[in-house]
Amino acid sequence: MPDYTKPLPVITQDSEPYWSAAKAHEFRMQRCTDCGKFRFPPTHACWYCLSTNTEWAELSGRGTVWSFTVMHQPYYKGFTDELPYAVLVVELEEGPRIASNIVDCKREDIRIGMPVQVVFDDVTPEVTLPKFRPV
Amino acid sequence: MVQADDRAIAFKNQVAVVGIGTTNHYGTYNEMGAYGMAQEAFKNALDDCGLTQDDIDGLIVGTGTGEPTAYDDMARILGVHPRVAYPYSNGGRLFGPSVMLMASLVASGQCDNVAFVYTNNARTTRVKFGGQDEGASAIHPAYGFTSPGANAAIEFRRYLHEFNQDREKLAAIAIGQRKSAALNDMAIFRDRPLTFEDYVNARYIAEPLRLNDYCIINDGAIVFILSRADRAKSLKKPPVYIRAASQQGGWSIYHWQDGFEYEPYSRVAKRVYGAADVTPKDVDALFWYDAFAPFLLYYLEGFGFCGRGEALDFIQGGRIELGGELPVNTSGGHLSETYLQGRAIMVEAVRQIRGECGPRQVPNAQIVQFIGTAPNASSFILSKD
Repeated sequence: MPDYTKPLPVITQDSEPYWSAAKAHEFRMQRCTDCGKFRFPPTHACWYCLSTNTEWAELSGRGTVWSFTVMHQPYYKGFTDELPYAVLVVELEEGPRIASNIVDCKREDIRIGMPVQVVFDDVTPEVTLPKFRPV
Repeated sequence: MVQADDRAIAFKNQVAVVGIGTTNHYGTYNEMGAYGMAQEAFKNALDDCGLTQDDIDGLIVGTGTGEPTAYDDMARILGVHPRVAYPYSNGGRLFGPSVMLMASLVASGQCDNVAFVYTNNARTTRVKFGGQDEGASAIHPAYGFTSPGANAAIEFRRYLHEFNQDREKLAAIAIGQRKSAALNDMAIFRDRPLTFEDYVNARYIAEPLRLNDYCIINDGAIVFILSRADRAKSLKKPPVYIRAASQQGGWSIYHWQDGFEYEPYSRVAKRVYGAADVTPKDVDALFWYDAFAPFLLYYLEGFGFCGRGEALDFIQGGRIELGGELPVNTSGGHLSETYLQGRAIMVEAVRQIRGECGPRQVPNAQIVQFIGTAPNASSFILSKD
């Protein structure tokens, strides 16, 4: 997909396992193996207890829409043709909140509290973005 | 984690705002540059209080918005030789904390006269507050998610949902402040009246927020000078006392925490009202960090001006306009006067206490309050006596 013009995520040492999992269509986040808490976005150490003992636990991929906005202003060239488009904050079943886009749903139909499920969008051969669809 | 809630600083009778200076106008300064604007505002601040360059023994310099500014270069071009000098973020949520820091330098005896120098040429340098390199949060641009306003929009939609409120009640803020701006020669939107029709017909930026719920982006500079209260009385203008200041950090992922920052705001409220020995009922005018209109709702609730979920009703009927029970941002604020990240709001607060606001003067203003935005919630109270 050489014509993909939207910004791509910056993959760091801390976030590489997240993006590798997504590429394999698995939804994984860091969970501290000392205090048991999930955290996102990825960091070197747990921000609750500062432990570096971490596992990349697979999530259910289920959550609900905590809130959302519809972007009308062009900020990124690759999104200009899609204006206006929705950005969601999803509260995952395991606790973390994550910003993403919705698929298979008109933006007029998005509601707070709506149950959603993760899907994987292979936007380039290297990068897969977790997105959400209504359940 | 529990931290003591009595840790506001009571500066009463120790520290006063003695000088304020702005650029001669707000808008664009494409030729003067960030440092030139600072020189203009500094000269005006010295003229305002009668102090000289040699009197400034403390200097705090904003790091610039748009063009970066360095504290050492700034000291040199302002011709000052302060004992104490620091660079300080221009960031808006750090404005309240900067006043607390300056007041602490004076109250602790480190400095007699501290100048804060803030300069911003965001308009000339085309700062967009969105779409830029987002550093550690660089996941979001992949989803087209960017800008402080989009975060504010997400939080406001959640607020409307939780309290089952009518979105259009928010109009009262932009419309009310625009009315005040019409009485302010410095206001960028002085000649742009805003009706309810205009408001609802304006375009969305990040839904549910529309154009007039957003601050302006413009150039300008502000300098204010704080001095020892015992020496302030002999200066040109009546002193404006800093009664108390407090802040509370509560960092999380943007504005996606539950509760609309009620917890940090209510803690700052308890501390600052306690230290200043006032209550919300005593506040003659409220000055708030209005990057985005909905922030006022969370301040009003967190500081106890009204109950939780009631702020959209509280602001109706002219209550927050000039002549109302609680006038807010009487200059027009960030929404209608100038967006200088809290610093111009301070200028207006000081002028209200001095009685210098002419047609927009709040009669007999004795006590005014500033509230700055979470996640570094802050507040200070200024008074005439």
